[in-house]
Amino acid sequence: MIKREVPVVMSVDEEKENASKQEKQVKRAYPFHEIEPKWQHYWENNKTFRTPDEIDTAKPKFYVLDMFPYPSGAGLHVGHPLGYTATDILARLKRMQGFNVLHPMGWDAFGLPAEQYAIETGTHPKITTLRNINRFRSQLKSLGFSYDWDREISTTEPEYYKWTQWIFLQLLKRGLAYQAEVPVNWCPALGTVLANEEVIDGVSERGGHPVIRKPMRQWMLKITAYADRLLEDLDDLDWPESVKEMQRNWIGRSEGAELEFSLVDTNGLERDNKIIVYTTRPDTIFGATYLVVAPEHVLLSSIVSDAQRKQVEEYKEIASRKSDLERTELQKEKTGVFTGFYARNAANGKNIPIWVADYVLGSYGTGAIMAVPAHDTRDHEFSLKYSIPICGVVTPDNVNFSYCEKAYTGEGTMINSSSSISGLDINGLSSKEAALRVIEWLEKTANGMKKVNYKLRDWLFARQRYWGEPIPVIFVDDTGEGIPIPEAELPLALPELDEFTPTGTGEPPLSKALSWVKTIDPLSGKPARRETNTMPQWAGSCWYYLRFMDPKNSKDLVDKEKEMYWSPVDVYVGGAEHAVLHLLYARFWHKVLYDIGVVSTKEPFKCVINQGIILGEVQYIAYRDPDGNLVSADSVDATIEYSQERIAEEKVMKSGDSFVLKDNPNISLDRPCSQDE
Amino acid sequence: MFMGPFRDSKTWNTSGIEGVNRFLARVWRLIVGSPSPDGKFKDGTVNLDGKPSVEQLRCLHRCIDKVTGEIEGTRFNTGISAMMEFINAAYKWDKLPKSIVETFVLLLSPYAPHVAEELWSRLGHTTSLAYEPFPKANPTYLKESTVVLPVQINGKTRGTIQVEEACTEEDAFQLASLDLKLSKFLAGKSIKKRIYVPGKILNVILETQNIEVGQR
Repeated sequence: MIKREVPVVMSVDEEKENASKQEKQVKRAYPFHEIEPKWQHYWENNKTFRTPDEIDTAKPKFYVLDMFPYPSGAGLHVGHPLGYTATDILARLKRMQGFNVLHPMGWDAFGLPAEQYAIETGTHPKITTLRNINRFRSQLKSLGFSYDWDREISTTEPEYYKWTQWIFLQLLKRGLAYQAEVPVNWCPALGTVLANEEVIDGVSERGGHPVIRKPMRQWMLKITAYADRLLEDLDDLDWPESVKEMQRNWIGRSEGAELEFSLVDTNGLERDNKIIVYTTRPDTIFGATYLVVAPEHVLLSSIVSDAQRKQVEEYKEIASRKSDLERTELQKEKTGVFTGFYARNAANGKNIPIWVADYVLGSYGTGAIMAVPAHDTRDHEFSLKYSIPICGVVTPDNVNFSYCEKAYTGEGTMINSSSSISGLDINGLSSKEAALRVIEWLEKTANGMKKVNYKLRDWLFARQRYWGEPIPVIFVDDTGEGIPIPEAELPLALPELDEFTPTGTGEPPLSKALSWVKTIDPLSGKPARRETNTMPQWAGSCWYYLRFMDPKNSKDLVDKEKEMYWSPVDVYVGGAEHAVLHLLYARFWHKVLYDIGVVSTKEPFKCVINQGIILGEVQYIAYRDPDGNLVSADSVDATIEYSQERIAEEKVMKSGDSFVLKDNPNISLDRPCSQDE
Repeated sequence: MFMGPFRDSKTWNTSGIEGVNRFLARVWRLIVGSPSPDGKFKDGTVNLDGKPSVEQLRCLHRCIDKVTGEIEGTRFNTGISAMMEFINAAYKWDKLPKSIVETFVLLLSPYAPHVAEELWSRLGHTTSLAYEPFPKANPTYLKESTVVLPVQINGKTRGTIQVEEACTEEDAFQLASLDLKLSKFLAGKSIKKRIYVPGKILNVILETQNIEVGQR
């Protein structure tokens, strides 16, 4: 890092070492210790980097933005200045090239750590947050970045979250925010809902208590309504191809068909109910040898035979404790239970068994699939385990393929695919032609239809937390109807609380603010209760780049002319960990704001750059027992407190798989390799 | 920024910072001078005089071109390498013209704004360099190509020299007088006139008496 001439993050030892070096050797290579503060003061006093509100818009503009940080208690880490230095160099260059430059900084300051700290210590998150912000700001200033500090914003300020709430109301108005019962990670022992990151292998990260999936009323945002636009508009963006690809995969558009299967009970009698499945491979319809429904499928209880009921109920219970990721990616072996019911495959009139298995997610497609073991790897695995027939219907061209050994998932020529019962014959066609023919037949015979499907789910937009934006909705007591509060009443300020521990019932902490929760519906005058869920941390970061253009505007989210001039962000720099969610959520909100005329561009960020990560330096640590004797790292005793000592690389040599002291090869060393963003 | 390509992962290493610190110190001492025995640096700068030579301008403009391109392409580390090359070259020069130093300081400023501001003020400027126009590379000095220049002495082609296309008359003449073949004709002679068409020809007319002497 060239810009700042001393390392940003130093251990206490290094700092001491440096200080003593400097005392011994007063001759510095050049007097950076005088120069840096001098010019930082000059810039601050002269407001050198102030971008005024009124500017000469005839000049070209350059908006260069960092992903604003979460002000953690630990202060800056080396990953921060890496990105910030890059944007700063660009900002300084562009100023000198005659551009009006917008280069702001702010704080994404709502979030879990401050709340957890509050639970542990009783310190109000507002205080912790303010303290951390002050530290971040002074650290950034000491690095001499050329931010326009007059534009500083924090997502936790009511003047800011007023507009976050305002956007929520616009979403609500357009039917893009709705309520639904959605399973959450519920930990009965802690009496709280946990974020996915707080659940590890089915137990809570803190305390190791069991976590189950429990349906709760949640706010959802209908990002799926924008799936096509979010996908199409990626093409024109100057973003890393890898990030675009991740977004495409996350949206996961596929073309296929929905098929209806009639239910057949244990006695072979056809029922009125139908199971609808989604498939991306309608061409393989003759190869479907069983159906799978997800454990949370709504029809499941009505398609279980009495003999299988106990087993199915047990299976559902076990599956409810697993996360989606565990079910689809991590779990090595597929599991499932036969329901006792069958489905009639209309293409060939055959009855095939219906299974319940957790490798199918209730949230994907219709929550049910037709399983084609010959042509799908997961189905193949499953059918081998449970001895379900495998029937090959696509043959790779010019190759003899054994469907028993593994699935053939590619395209090819159709075989074994005709039936006199249905009159459908697709033998000899290519997979593509066959798919079209099958869809045609489905639609003609009312057995299904063409369907585009997305992996993208609606966005769960409620958290059972205190330290977030209140959701500006009230519920009238007698009807329970949710009513948005009038825009004129925004911001709906977060009420003061002294105690932040979970309620134990799953009710959010805000429900403890009794006098705040109780309110009156301004229209009907009837008593009502406020929504006690808060918004997720993603909310504030979805639109902050707009506020920087006009941070103090009390009438509008952003002034139209200012937005027209500064949009879009020309260069946006941050870590690759935000490649999917943050960027996707921000693009979604931006498109909604575009539709309601608040912004003038379809996309918020013209160019996105991911900085690389900084890996920890190789270090060697020796241990000394309380008496000061060196102890080999492989024989340290967890009950004794050792002092640690950093060993210089030249005093270390390799011995076998470990590293030892050159002077004393009996002492092996630790090699912790830290990694930072 | 010097740790490696911006988009790549890199290993934290304080020696990288030392390298950059050394570079900035070299910039500092080139322009401000060496410290006195007590470690203090004098005010102002070293003597910055002379007119920039073609070589200096080429070196500078190559650096401008590279640094601008590398910043805009977010290849910050190679932009630094270019400035290091420039400073290495500058240490070999006898004279350090002020205009060259000023341009370089502006070039350095996006990367090392503190040092750059300090040097800028020592160069006699009273306001920040933050809004000074960023140097632009002059394409004339970026041409790598050299030409074979015929050299005539009194109208007769006596040999050729290899020169850069933008070479000045003085530089071309210097090269000619150093050339093994041509120097025989020029050594100790007084020159009446030089005719120089850049990229085409250098014609040297000698004083008449010298020719006579030569003929004898």
